[in-house]
Amino acid sequence: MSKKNTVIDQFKEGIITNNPTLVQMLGICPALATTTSAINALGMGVSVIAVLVFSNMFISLLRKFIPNQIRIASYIIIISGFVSILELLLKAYLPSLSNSLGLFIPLIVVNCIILARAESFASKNKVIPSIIDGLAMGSGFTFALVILGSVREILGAGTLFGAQVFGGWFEPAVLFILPPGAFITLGFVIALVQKLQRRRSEYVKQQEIEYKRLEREAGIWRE
Amino acid sequence: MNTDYTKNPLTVTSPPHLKNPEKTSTIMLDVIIALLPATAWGVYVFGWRALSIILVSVFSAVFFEIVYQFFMNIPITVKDGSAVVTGLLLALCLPVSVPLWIPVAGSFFAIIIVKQLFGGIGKNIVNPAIAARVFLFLAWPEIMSYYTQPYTKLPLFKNVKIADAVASATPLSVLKNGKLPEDSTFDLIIGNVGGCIGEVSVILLLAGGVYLLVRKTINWHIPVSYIATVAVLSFLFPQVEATFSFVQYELISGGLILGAFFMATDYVTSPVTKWGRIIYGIGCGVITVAIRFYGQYAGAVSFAIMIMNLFVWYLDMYTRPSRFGGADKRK
Amino acid sequence: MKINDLINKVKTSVDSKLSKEKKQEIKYYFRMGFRLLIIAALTASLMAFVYSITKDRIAENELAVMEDALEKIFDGCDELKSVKGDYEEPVSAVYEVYKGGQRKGYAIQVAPVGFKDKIGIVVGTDNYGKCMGVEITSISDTPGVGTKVKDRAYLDGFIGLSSDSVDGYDVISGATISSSAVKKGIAAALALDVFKGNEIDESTSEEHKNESPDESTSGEESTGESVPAESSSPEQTQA
Repeated sequence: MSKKNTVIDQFKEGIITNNPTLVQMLGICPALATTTSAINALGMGVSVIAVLVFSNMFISLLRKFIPNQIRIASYIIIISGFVSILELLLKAYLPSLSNSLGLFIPLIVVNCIILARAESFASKNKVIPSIIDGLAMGSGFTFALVILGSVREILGAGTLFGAQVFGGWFEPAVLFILPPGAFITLGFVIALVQKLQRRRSEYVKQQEIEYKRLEREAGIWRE
Repeated sequence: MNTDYTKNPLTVTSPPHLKNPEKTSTIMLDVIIALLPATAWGVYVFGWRALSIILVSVFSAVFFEIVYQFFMNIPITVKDGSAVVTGLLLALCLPVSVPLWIPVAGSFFAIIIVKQLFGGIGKNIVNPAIAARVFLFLAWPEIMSYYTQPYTKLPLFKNVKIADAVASATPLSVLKNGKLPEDSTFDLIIGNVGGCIGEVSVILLLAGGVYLLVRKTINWHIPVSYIATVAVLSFLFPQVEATFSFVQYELISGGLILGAFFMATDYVTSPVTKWGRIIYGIGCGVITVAIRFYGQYAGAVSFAIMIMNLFVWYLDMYTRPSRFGGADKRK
Repeated sequence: MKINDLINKVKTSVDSKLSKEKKQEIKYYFRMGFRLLIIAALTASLMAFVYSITKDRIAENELAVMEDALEKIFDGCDELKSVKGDYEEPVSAVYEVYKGGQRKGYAIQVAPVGFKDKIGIVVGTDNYGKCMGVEITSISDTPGVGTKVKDRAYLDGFIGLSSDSVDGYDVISGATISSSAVKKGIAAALALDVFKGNEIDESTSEEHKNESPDESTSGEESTGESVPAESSSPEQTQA
C-alpha cells in the first residue's frame, strides 16, 4: 500500500479500492454480528471511525517514542484505552446504541482494522495523514457495514432504518437477521465487489492498451 | 456419440465400447417414478393445493436453473432432470398450507445458492432440497410449522388463512410432547394423518424405495442403517412409557422414511464406500434421535441429513478400501 | 545532594560488577519498560478523566431505565432505596420502592441469560413477594421470536404470582428458551430473602393486609404477635 498524496486518493482507497472489510477482508466479525439492522451497522461504523482516528492520531504522534520491540503492546494499550473511553461516552450519552451494540463495543479492540492501520500506516506516517487514513478506512468499514445492515434489515424485517419499506404483503425472512443470513449476505456482497473489481481491472487494462496504441500512432515511444 | 458399430467396420474411438444406458437423466427419472405414488397420495389427502405447490416448486427450480445457466453462459443442463427432482423433493417437504411463494424462495435457494453457486451438479456440498427446507424453516418458522388437518379443502392459489383450516398437531409433535399419537398405526402407515405433503404415506414411500433398490439406483446401506439406528435408539431411550409402540411410532411418523430413502441417498452428498454409507446412516440416525428427543424441534430429519452431508468427504477418505497390492496411503 | 550521592554510589557499585553488554541490556529493558509505563499512564489517565465526567450520567441513565419500568408497574414512585446484599445471578440489584413515604414494595433487577444475551428485567413486587408487574428493559433475542416475551399479555400474566406459582406459568411455544429464562429470572426475584422479614413488620403496623406469602417466616424479630405460617390464601392466583 503506497502512500497516497491527496486526501481524495486516500478516501477512494479506503472506501472503494482497498475497502478494509470487502477487499482486505478485515473486521469481518463485527461486520457479521452488528449488521442486524442498518442503524446498528451505522452506529458500529461510526464508533470504529472514532477509535480509528484517535488511535491513529496518537500512535502517529508517539511513533518515534514507541520502541519497535514493544510496539504491538503499546498499540493495544492505546487502542483499548480509546475503546474504553468510547464505551463510557456511549453509555453516558447514547445508551440505546450502547445497548444494541452490547459487547461488540469492547470487541472493537480486537478489530483487525485498527491494529492493521496502526501497524502499516500510523506508525510510519505523520499525524495529519494518519488522521485522514483513519477517516478513510473507517468510512470504508462503515460503508460496507451499512450495506450489509441495510440488506439484512430489508430482507429480515422489511424495514430500513426503522421505516417500513414494503407493504403488508411482505413476509420478512427472519433468517437474515440471524447469523446464517449474515454469512449469506456477506458472501453475496463480496462476490459483487469481486465482480466489479474484475470488471474494473479489465477496463483499466483496456485503457492502457488504448493509450499505448495512441502513443505509438502519435510517434511517442515510452517504456 | 451415436455410433452404430454394425455399420462402421472401422472403429477409431477409444475403448470402452460398451455403454451403460444409465445416465443422470435415467437416474432422475427413476427417482421421480419412485416418488409418484407418495406424491399422488399427498394430493389425494391434502387436496389440489398440494398439486399447485408441487408444480410451482418444480417449475421454479427448472426456471432458476435455466436463468442462472443462461446468464452465466454455461451449458443449460436442465434436461438431466436434477432440477425437477430437487423441486419435487422440496415440495414434498412442505406443509400444504404454505403460501405459494415459499416453494419459489426455496427453489431459488436450492438451485442457485446451494447447487449452482457451488459449481453445479455434482459439486454441491449439501443436498439442495434439504438445505432449502432448512432455510425455509429458519427464515419463516411460523409459516413452516403450520400444519392443517388432512382432508380439508384449501384454496388453490390464494394464501391459506387461519379461518380456512385449523392447525393440527402432527404425530411427530405429539410424540415430542411425550404422548403417543392418537392415530392408529394403520392410519400412519397408509397416510391418513397430517404432515408435509410427501411424508405421510409410509407404505407408498417404502414402495418407491423398494423400486429404487430393485433398479439399483440406491443401495440398501444408507436407508437400512439410518432407520435401524433410529429404531435401536428409540428402543433404548424411550420418551414414553410403552417402548415398542414408541419405537413403532417414531419410525413411521415424520419424514424419516422419505429422508432415508430419497434424500440421504443422493449421490452427490452421500459417501461412496460401503462402510462410509453405513457410518453415514448411523450418524443421521443418531442426530435425528438427538434432535427429536432432546432438541427444540419436533422434526429433525432435514437437520440430521444436512449435518451428515458435511462429513461425507471425511467419511469417504477414511473408509477408502486399500488398494490391492499397493501401499496403504490412508493414515 | 544526599540523593545524588546515593545514586552515584549505586551506579559505581553496579558499574564495577557488570560488563558493558550487560549494562546495555539493562538500560535497554529499562528504556522499554519506562516508555511502556508512560504510554500506559497516559492512556489510563485519559480514561480516568473520561470516567469521572461520565460516571454520574451513566448512573442517571441506569436509574432512568429503572424508574421508567417502575412508572408502569407501580404508577410512579417517589423514592428508591437500594438494598445492599449478596445477590446471586440472575439477580443484580434490589431496591425498596417508596411512595408517599411508605414502602410499597420492591423493585428487583434480574438479568437471566436468554437465547442470545442477558435479558434485562425489572420485577416489581409488593412487600411480601407477590409480583406486581414485570417490565423487560433490554432484550437482544431474535426479533419476532424471542422478543415475544415482551408481549404485554404474557408479562401481565405474572402479576399476582409468587415464587412457587411462577413455575406453573406457561412458556411461550416457539420461544421456549427466552420465555423460560424470563420465568427463571422472575422466580429468582420472588424467592429472595428480602421479603422474609416483612409480614411481621406489617402486622404490627396500622394497616393489616390480608395477603400473606407462601414461605413461612423463620421467627426473626418477633415483635409481639407471632404470625402463624399460613398456606396459600385465596388471594393468590395460580396461572
